[in-house]
Amino acid sequence: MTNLNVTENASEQTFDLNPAARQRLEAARQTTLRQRGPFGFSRAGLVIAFAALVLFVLPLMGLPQTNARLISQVLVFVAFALSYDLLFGFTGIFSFGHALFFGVGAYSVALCSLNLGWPMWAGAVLGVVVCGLLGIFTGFVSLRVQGVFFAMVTLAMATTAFSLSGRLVDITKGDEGLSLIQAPDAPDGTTVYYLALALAVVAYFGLSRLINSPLGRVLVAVRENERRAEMVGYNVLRYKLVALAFSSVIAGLAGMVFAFRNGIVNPGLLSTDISLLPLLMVILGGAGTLYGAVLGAVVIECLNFILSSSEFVNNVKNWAVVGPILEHWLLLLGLIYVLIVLFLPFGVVGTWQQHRQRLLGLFKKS
Amino acid sequence: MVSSQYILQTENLSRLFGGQVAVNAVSLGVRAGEFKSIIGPNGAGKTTLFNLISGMLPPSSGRIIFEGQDITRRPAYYRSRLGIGRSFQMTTIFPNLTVLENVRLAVQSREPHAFNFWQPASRFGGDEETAFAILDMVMLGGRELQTAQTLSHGDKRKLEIGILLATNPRLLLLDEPTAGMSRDDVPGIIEVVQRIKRAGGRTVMLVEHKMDMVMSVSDSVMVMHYGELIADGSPQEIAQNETVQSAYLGGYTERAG
Repeated sequence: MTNLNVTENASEQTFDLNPAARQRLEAARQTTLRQRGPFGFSRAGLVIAFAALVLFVLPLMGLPQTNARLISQVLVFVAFALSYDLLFGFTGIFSFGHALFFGVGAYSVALCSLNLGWPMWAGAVLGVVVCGLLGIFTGFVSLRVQGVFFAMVTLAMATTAFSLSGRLVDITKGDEGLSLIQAPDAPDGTTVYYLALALAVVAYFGLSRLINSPLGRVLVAVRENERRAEMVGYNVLRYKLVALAFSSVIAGLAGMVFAFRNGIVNPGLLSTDISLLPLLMVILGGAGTLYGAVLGAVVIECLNFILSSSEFVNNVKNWAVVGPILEHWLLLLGLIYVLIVLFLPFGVVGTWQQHRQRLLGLFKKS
Repeated sequence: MVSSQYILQTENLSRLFGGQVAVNAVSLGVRAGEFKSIIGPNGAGKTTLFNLISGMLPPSSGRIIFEGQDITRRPAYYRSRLGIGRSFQMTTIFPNLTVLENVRLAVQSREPHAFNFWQPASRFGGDEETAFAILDMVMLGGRELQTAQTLSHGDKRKLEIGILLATNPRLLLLDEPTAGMSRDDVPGIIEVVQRIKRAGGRTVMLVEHKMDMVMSVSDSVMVMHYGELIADGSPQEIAQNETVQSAYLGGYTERAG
């Protein structure tokens, strides 16, 4: 039996770990090491790193501008979905107003550049600070309420920002929007592409590190059982605020790159549509896995691109029954979403993880 | 009135739910190192009392003093850091994490690196070692890598006690550790509780309905009835107390002969 000597301080608790337990500990450590591949990457990390490498060299081999624009958009939403996964999938915070940070990031850059004449990078730095503080502020006023109530508060805040951006015409030019093309140092298409790639890669590997760190593990504990986390001595509110700050900074950066890509910043960036997207992406791919968020963002943005392209719409318009549905791709997405929630409640990735053995078994028999 | 021989004291502690008095002017003192059980019929206010002491609920009136410090208005996590650990009637663990991670997180809560967001948690191997040792103590050795929710009900209760021990509390509040447990699982949990007692150095407050367990492990027993503290004494005194017998114990002494 193990001896437990009580001391004044928990970290001074002393133990004699018996040999059998030590052996199990070493075995457990070896297993964890083996699950990591070359350079300490996980398997998903390797796939992402390889994809990033391919995307890095693509423009050097002459990538058409339209494709570059599509990939930039996908990468922006990969980062945006990842930031949402930290909140929703890992910390268990259900936000319904994530567009707030996306839009505020975009507006910070545009306003600083066009109205104050600041260089882009300065506006971006300010945007990061503003988004971080706004995240903490949002948490402070609303995290005292839980679950759906928190979602309602975040929705209200994002909606307020949405109306403000439309009403403060003197500053934001209202619905017309601010044109970043007028800014002298607005990045060009290739720069935007690499900015988006860098953001997505940094977001993925940064968040991977975060969620495996001691702090990240506490966030998961908060998701798993808030009461227990509180009762072992974690200041749950403080940890949630940290998660919100990280998440809102990444979302803000995604908003900025999106603004560069579009060349325009308008109230649409703060709309509920934008708030819904990361939620859809994370649920579709699988919450709390990071690569589920990546998968969800890629699938939804590509579907969006294909299904709303004029060629596709013109083609399917005359089809019977399915034509009108395909014409309104959001309707289709809604349908896919309902099917996923009904049949794959843990998303594509989560379902794969749960039933991997069985699904692979089916494969082998046939 | 604050006396150092008591690790925990309450003064006229009350809690109302609407017009209902759940805990009524309870003044108690628990000596350091003591093993104190609280008994009483369902709805007597035992769990509410634990909720007040652990900070889950604010009291309507009264004071709580832990090791000479007034903690009446302190948040729950702060009380945990001061050294009050609490288990719940409904098992409260991290269900989708491994057994090891459940305990490791509790060990980590007292470490300065709990806020480290850049290095992998596995870098701090000492946390894991401590967790393995604690799991051994609560008889979950060999189950470390299992997902917590796949444990049997009895093992989940042991895990919860392990989580508490990992925070090295000086006062343990155990709320019916044998609740809803199959007959086969009960001896295991009694063994764990007795190990805590034998290891010494900790003060334990136990809410329990299994009288044989209460009578064998307790240094003193408190009886609650309709939110009030109606008796406090050694197990023998309580067993012979007439008020207690009519309120609650009834058959126990007869069965015990």
